[in-house]
Amino acid sequence: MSGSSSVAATKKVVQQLQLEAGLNSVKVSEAAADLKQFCLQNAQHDPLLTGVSSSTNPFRPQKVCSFL
Amino acid sequence: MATEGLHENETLASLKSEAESLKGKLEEERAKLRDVELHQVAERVEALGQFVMKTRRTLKGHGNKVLCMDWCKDKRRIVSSSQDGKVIVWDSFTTNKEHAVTMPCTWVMACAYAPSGCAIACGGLDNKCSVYPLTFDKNENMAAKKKSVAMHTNYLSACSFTNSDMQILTASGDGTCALWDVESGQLLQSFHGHGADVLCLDLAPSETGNTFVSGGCDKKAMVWDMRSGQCVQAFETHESDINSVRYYPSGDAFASGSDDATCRLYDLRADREVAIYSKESIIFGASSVDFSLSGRLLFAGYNDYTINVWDVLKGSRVSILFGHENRVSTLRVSPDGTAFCSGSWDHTLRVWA
Repeated sequence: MSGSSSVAATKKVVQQLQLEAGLNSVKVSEAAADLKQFCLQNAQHDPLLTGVSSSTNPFRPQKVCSFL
Repeated sequence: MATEGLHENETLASLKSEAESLKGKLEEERAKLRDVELHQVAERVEALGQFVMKTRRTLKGHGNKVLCMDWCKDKRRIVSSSQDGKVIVWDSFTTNKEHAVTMPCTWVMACAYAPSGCAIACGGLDNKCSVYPLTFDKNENMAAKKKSVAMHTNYLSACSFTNSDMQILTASGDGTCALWDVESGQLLQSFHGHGADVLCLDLAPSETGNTFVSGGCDKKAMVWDMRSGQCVQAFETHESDINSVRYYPSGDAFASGSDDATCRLYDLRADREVAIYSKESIIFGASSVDFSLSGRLLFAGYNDYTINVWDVLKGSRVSILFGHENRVSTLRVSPDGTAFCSGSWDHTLRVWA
């Protein structure tokens, strides 16, 4: 019966919402501070951020040395 | 019977009102945690300088729109798939094609490299995900060794191997995601909850445990527990289809790209959206997103043929990259972060560094 299936569907929605309401979330200030910390700690190991030199980046063209 | 119908209506009505009050409570709780914005926390962080990123390689060979690509763990090989039904494996250093296979369908919307580098997975309008072992034997026909792994009831939109060559996670236009055993083709777990086509998925970095995030045409991004099949968190702030989702390198957040022309960052511990990357001048949808190694940069490919580079912390755009002559459909940063590759409807792939 169409009635009971929408009851079942809505029950699932309620269960899901109860699950989500039970989460212990942290404040944005704390979460954001951790994101910032991760970025800064790993910045020097990020080639696209620091701009790796031609000698170490396989995609960047090698500068040609010519002996005079 | 009349009395039964009445009872059911009461149950339905009371359940619906409980759902509404729970939603309201969730919104209230989420609002309380919003004590500050991400870009405010990042105010004192040094601004990024000018970026010089150029196309370093152009991979030509597909006969039609490039729809998807993935890097091999060796940081140099790339697999790409196209509307013309072809899947090609490239050596991105030399731009040589190492393997090519023709699928029995057009619109191969998903492809992925196995962690071992010895196989690739792909699928699309055939509603399946198939695995092809890669062989260097010239006499062997790649298509002959094809193994059908996943079966959906609508198109395959995304696929990814898990930590090994043994399991594959798929997303489909049938509204579900599924986890499969490659060897037996057995369905290990299915994930139901999206109200429309699922367009993308990304696995959490291995240290963070067994979860993955998916995005769909229902504008929702959902985080799933792989073992139980349960949705553990859901986010619904986008105003249109979510085309791409990607985890932040620490695993504590993920970014999304949408047809609403914005990219957004969701923090899993704060359980909310913490940043929006948008500009009034950007009006075309974002099709694909990926982070640089430290998570400071977010690269996003758009339907207006450009790639925008965003400062994740400050929320500002640091660079705009031109080069493709049609929509950018797919974008991934290489495993060691030295470059990123973009695929486009202009039939080419470009490697940028």
